[in-house]
Amino acid sequence: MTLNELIVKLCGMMTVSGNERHATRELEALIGPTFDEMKVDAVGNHLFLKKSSRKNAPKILIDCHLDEIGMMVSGYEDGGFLRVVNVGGVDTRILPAGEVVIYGKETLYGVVATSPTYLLPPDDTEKLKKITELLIDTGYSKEELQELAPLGTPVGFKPVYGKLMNGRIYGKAFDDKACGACAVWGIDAVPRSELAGDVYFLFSTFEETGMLGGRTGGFGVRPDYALCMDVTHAAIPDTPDLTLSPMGSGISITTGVICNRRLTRMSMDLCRNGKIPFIPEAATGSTGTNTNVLNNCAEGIPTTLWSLPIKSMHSAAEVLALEDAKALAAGVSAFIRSKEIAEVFGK
Amino acid sequence: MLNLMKTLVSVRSISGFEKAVSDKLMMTMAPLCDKVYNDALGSLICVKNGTAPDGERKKIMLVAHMDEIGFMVTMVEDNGFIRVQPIGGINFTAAAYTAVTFGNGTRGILIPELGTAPNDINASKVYIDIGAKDKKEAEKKVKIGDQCALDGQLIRLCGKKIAGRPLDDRIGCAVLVDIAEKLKDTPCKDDVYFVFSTQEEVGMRGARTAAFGIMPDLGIAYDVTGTGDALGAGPMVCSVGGGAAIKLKDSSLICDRDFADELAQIAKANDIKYQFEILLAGGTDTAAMQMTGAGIKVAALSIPTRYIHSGTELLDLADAEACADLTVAWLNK
Amino acid sequence: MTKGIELIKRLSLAFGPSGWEDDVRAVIREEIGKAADSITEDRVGNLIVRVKGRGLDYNASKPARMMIAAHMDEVGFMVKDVTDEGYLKFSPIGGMDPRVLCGRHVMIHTDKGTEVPAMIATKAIHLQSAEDRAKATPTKKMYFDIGARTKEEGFKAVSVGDCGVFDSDFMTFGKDGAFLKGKALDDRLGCAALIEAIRDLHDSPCDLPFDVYFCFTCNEEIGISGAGVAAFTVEPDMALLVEACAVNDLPGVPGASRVASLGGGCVLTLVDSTALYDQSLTAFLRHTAEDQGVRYQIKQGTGDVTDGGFIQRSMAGVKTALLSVPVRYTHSAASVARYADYESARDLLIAALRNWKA
Repeated sequence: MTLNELIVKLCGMMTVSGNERHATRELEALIGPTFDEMKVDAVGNHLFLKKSSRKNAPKILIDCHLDEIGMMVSGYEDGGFLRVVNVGGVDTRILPAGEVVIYGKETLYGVVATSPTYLLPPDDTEKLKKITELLIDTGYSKEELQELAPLGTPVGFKPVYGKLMNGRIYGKAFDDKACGACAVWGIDAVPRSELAGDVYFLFSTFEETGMLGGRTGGFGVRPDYALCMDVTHAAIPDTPDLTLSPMGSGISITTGVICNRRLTRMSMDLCRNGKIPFIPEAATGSTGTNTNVLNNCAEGIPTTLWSLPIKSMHSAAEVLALEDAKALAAGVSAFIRSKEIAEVFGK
Repeated sequence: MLNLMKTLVSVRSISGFEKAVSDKLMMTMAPLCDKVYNDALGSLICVKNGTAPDGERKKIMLVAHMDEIGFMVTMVEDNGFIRVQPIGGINFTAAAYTAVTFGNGTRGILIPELGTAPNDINASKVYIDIGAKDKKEAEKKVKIGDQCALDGQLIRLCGKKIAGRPLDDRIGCAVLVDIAEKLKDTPCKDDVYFVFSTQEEVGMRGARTAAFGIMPDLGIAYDVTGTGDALGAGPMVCSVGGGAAIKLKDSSLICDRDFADELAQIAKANDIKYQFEILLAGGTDTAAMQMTGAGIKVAALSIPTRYIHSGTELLDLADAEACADLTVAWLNK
Repeated sequence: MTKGIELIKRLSLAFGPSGWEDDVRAVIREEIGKAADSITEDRVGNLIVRVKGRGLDYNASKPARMMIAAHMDEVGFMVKDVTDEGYLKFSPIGGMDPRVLCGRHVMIHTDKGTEVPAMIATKAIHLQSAEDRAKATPTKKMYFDIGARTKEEGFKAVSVGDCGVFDSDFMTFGKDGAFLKGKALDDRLGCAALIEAIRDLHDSPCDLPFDVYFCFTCNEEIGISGAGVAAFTVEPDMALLVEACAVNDLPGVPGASRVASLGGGCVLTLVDSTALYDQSLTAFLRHTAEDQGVRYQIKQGTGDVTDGGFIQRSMAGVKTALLSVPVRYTHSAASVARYADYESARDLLIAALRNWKA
């Protein structure tokens, strides 16, 4: 399997926040062999452990969130239409005439309904509806839908993956399972004997709805130090006044108020020494990632944040560069090998 | 339940000032439970021991909040009018031109500055008139930091429906008392922690610390929820009289689906009326519980309520009873 | 998939924005095969397929002519420029609703013969302002991301004037797979109906009192009708247009604004913004439908734009009627139709030809 294939397989799974357990079996089969143990906790965190052969090894936490944004069935309309609410921050601009999958008792297909512009009042032709005003066309009757897709049924973007030039790939839910794929790829590459500590890979839940899983997962593991991996925004033409890095710059390492400064500096040294491309990113407050909750978890966890730049985040067609993903995977290998970091932050 | 509700709404209990209602609930709960105490944030915790042997009992936390929204005095104007800040999510349009009562019993009326358009009424545009002729007279009755709330009231409507305030969340408290009464002589096998939490309306603060102190295995929260059955309501499949509302999602959390389905199964098996609920806006103590420690499996049973946070909230006591019945059936499963 | 659905699938997937209908023409030629008496392509790219009449009512020296038309082209995009950062600026070909474009996949077919996948990128929701969320981005502010990093890389892959269409698979869905989803259902459904009619007349020949000219036309979507040129060439006595009809049969939409409904059968149009259709022809279609038990509905809206007017008012005028298949979300990557409605349009077309009495 290539890293590209692992990314597509992981991201193609349906893990809309609150439905992470749907993927348990698939996950176990796909990435289980890299690890010694797997545990699913009370809120749906999937925790994987790869033990080091060292005695009294420190606990290293690598956090990526398993959940993805999506929708939830909230009502039914005559003619076979569903109403939905968002789960996490869904980009509503991409929804009209968008294609979705309804993960009910049967897996159903749906299209987000839209009216022909010539039938709308002139003022409405450019108006985007709120998600709760949208309808999903399913091809079933209202009664059949009530049976097949009960209230609360998760709805996700239809998974379609493809390639652009220069090793760019597009598809849904790179946020954040693409990082998960890089983590697994990086962890898999390091033999047990070379691990600087026991590696706890936390595929956390509910990040998109309030960073719940990072908080409780971190509390459950109480690691000595942590690497949080999430996606970040790559520069696009619409964002000239934001200081975003171009795609293809490598790992985006955050120098942030709530990231551990020393661990961040050591992370950058690690990349420099290993010739792994990276670019610093500055965050003065919230990082919008689990770093926020990990850093302040329990007695505090020294945390560094590494990000994968993507475009069109939270849409059905996010874009990432494989070169960045490869850098991230190489970075993870270096991080869990690093005796220097283990010495400073281990017990 | 009606009589209990009458008692509970008659006491003011603004977030951070819940002592009066806590005392009332403690008197009611003490005879029903094995241990009763207040934690550092004032939450009332009542423990009913289970029958299973030590080490085999789960800890189950049932929580309802006892605080209500209200106002805190920020200054007294020279002419004796009192300025206030909201505590919790006040609907100022609904609060305008209504009577309020302060902690010491002083009465007043909440008035928007004249000429303010209904949609523009907010904290800086209202004042409380207690009839004082000047600042000096007003300050004899009311000090900065005092709190007040719209008057509590309760009226009976058709069937088992009631209206008044603050039904949010005295009804949840009443449900907990009802459950405790039903368990009094026939405890279940697990330890049940009845938690009457504080400061929910300002950010679910009491439930968070209470949950950390208890570290339960499972938790259920009881609170009011919005409905889609009022005129002009948003699209929401939940109605007053539709039964206990098993929460799937609100803006603070997504509930554990397996737990929700389990409750639905038990409701079905015991002929208890239930419905699912997806609340479009608003949060509950459920989220605070879920986020505690290494994470807790949670559910929420809601009492569908129209006109929440107004002076006249409306609900059906039958729905509240269904919540209690469903919980007891679940505890005894 | 039934044969009819397979045919629609093949047509839906064919590349054919207005002016670039070559692939669609090739598919149609292949699907018709030897079922027609002649297939010609006119000077603007219309494909004209003739099926000869015969029998007692057929005037062999000066045969009457019936024109049946459907347009081959679909809405698409044209590359206008490459920015310094390697993104492509584009213009829509045909009437495109900007609300359905953000985040869509596009396949550009270059002049060199290569295929270049592209995304219509969207600013992430985290970076959107309240206004961004409430109002559709105008197409002139959108761009394609093909993965190029510089202007040079971009221009190495594409040229100004290269065209793209939605990159969207074709599928059936809903109860019993009764619904179809794909791009370009407007008007490949019409093309499919014509092809099936040609095959039907070939497989079980009948006495047609006229020559039938099946015209697969160009450039409908840009409003500069290839059908008008075809009508000039064919000089028909009567014409029947087979189209896709954009409907709005959504919950909460009042009756008249729904236009027509999926599941209601094929649609007969009395008037649209281009033409008042011939009443006797339309009446004949209605009676035929009733006699043959074909489900049909009368269109309620009047605002649609079609080739009807171009055919009706070519030369000295042509009696014209409009038969269509109701389609939701036309001009998007995910148009939705009901196969049964397509069947009723196809069956009515065939029945009308076989039972001609006008």
